[in-house]
Amino acid sequence: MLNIRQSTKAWFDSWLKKRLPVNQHVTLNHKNIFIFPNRIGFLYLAIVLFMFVNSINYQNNLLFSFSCLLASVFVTSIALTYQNIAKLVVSTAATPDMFSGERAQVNIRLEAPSGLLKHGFNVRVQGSDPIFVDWLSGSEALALPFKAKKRGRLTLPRICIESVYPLGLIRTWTYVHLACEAFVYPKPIEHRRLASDWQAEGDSELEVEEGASQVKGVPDDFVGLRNYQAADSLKHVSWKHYAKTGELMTKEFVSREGSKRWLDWYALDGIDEETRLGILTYWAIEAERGGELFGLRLPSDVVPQGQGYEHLTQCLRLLACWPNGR
Amino acid sequence: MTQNAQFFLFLSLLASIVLHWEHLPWWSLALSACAMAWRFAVYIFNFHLPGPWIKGLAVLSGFTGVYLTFGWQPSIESMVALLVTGVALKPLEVQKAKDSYLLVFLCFMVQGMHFLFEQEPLDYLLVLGCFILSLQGLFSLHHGSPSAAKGLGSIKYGTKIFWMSLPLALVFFFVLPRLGPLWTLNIKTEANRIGLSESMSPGDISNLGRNTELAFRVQFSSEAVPLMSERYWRALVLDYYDGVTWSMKFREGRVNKESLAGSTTVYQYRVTQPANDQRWLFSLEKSVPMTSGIDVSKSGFFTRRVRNIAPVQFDAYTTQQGKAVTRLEMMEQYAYLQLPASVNPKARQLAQGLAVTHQGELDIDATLSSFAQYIVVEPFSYTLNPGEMTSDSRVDEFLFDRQQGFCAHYAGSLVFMLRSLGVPSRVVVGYLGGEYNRVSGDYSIYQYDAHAWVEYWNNGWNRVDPTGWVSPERVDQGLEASVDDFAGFSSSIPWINDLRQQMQALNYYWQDWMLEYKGEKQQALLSAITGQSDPSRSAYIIGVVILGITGLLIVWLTLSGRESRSYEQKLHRYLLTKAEKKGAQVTPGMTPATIFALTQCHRSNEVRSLIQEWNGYLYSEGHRGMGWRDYRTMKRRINQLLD
Repeated sequence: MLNIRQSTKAWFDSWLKKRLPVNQHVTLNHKNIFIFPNRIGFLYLAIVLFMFVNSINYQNNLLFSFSCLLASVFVTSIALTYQNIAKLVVSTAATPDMFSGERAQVNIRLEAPSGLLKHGFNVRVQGSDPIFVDWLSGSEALALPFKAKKRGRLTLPRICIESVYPLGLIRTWTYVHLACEAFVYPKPIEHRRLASDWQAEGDSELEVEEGASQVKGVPDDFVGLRNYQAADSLKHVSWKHYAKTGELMTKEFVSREGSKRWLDWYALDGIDEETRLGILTYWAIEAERGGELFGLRLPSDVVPQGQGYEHLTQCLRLLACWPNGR
Repeated sequence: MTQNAQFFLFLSLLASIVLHWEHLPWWSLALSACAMAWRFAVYIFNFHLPGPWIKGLAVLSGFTGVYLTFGWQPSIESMVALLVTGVALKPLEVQKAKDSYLLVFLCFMVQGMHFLFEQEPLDYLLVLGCFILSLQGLFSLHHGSPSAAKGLGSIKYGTKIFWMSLPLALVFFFVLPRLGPLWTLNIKTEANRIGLSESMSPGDISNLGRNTELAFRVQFSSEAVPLMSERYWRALVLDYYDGVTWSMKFREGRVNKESLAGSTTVYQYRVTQPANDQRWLFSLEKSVPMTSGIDVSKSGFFTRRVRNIAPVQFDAYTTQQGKAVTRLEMMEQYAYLQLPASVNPKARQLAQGLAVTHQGELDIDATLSSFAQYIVVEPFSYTLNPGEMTSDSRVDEFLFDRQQGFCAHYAGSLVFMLRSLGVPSRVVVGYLGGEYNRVSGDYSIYQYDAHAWVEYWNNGWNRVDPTGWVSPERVDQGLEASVDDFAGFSSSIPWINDLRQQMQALNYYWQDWMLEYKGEKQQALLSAITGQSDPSRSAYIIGVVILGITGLLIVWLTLSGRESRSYEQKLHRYLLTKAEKKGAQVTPGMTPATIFALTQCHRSNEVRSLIQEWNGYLYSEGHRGMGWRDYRTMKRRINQLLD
């Protein structure tokens, strides 16, 4: 039973995907608009039927004509409801990156064809709260509430636009599948593993000059080994390891220097990947907030130390897409 | 809910209730008024809505009122009273959007119910007005508009939807087949009870004589039209007299209609009568019905097998002889000689005194003449205000004390006297006369034309009208001419009369087209349109036409859902698809120049001139825009360049 339901849903999804392909902007027309009476519409039909039956039973032609009028209003309402939403252009607008699980927003742009006024419709990202647009003329940007569940490149669920204008008897709706250029960062996780040393030296050694640490030989915390890279200082090569295995490995430290540090993947040994990403995200933000220089080291990529919003974004996007890179 | 929506919901509800004020009992109106006033106070002064106790009390009093006024027997009136009261109370608990929908739908129902009572053109317009108000109410539930139209001014939206729906509604109305009643209705209506009743009490106060409502109308299709004094429209026979009231006891048998046909046609006519919830129909003497579903009694009265819950229209013709009835059955003898014992001794005496015998047998014609003589000589007069009679012997009281009355008094007394002499006789009620409408060519018979006369047995049924003895004008010219204090509507000013007749003619066309458009009429129209005599074939053709229209509608919707593009835009789109086919990575926002660059077309001179010309359409001073011809040539050039 469950299987049937699942396969039906999968079939419907793939059908929708084919019918409503992902696009930068979508014009609503007969190909992507669905239309059907809603519950109120069926109540209306029941009342019209009741009046038809009465007119027949009482052989009352005027009541009959009135019922015809009511029936005709229903048909007109189908056309009007359709026309209201047709020709509407939905396109993506620049959407800021967001954290997974956070209340965020997706920006889209709605555009009514020139000279036309579109009325009363709901817009929502599937699974989120709708936004009601009372009327629309010209072009308007819309911020839809949205909560991303998975980190990575943002794949928007279908956006549903629905309307019962003008009489509320007919519901017309459409799903728009928009491509979106935004990233979902991992959910920040506060963790002491990186925090303790961070906090400790952050206060005490604030005056330490940039780039001085290695010269001064301030002891850093050893966190692990990684493959040697050409840029690595020979001081950090684990010669013990080399003696044993013949491989050049670099010892990893979390830097203890004041406002200059590395957020290192390997510093979080023993923690599962997603949590590690969360912790790194958290500290990247904290570092940026503290106005510190920081770099990010992931097994696949290294972001050199830096500062500023751009830098933070670069790091966070890397974390979001790990292990696929950008 | 916006203020505007509340305003229209309130207004449409108010209008729908006021529409029914004539058929509603006073308490229902009062209760509705209170509820509306409360709602209005909520709307204007932010007054709070009533609590459950008050609401419960209101509902309870509504039910009690219906019970006290109408009893348990359901009737249309009681149902409408219940519905309207319920609908009026509904706004006191309208909180959610769903309630508003329900309210509007109930308003639609209340408006439709109005047609069960009133069917004049003006009523139709009123209902349509209310309907548009409700439509606007429904509409303003969803309508947020930047335009300033608020209040009554915004009704144009509702009106627009109405006009848009009208054509299809007309198609529905003219084409949809009319079915017979789906089940028998046991619910009675008290409307249309005005008019003749199955009893007549000459002594009681009558008000039928002053009623100016239309009873029915007749159109003669034969050349010859009977004189006014011959237009006795027969409806009922009253055979039983209990001393006060004449009523129907005896029912004549039916005759086979085939036995009636065959003789020469004298008059042919069509009667249109409004619903009266009775079975009888109005016909001239010696009539034969041409419409099915009508029974004819032995002495030529028409009845229908079902009650007239809707307006009836039928055709009939009269014959020269009619069906000869030569013999009275025993039961008929008994019924038409029945008299209450020991009342009206003086009337019996008078009858004996006036009777003329010839060779030991009663000469009925001579006796009637001497009765007429007596009425003419004695100071009898015709009036609609004879005063109430109170004694046990009402015929005596009329003949000797009052000596004034109207048709019922004269007819009743004559039958009494004839029966006392042993002549089988009966009171016949119906209408006499009718006004000719020059505009429509119809005869209108009003309720005040109601009349009673006498038929007596003399080797067959014969008609005699004792009212003619005392007031020949009543018979020859109608009621208007015979009473001084007539309260009808005929005016001495000619143009007012003309106007009235024109209004009436309009009313008749309305009846023929709106009220009577069904059955044969519908078939006739449809086959006139389709040219098919077979109703099923014409229904088939119409069905195909409707499907076609629906198809066109869908195509139109499809097309109108598309962007309408200028030729410049079309060309741009064309170029895009063309470039895409060639494998260029293009996006809709690119200019033609960029697109051409991406297609790596080498004929750069031609491309440049093409683009220059293209831009000329768009930007050159006094640009004329691209026409269809230009579009074609440009398209061809693009093809040449990119193939």
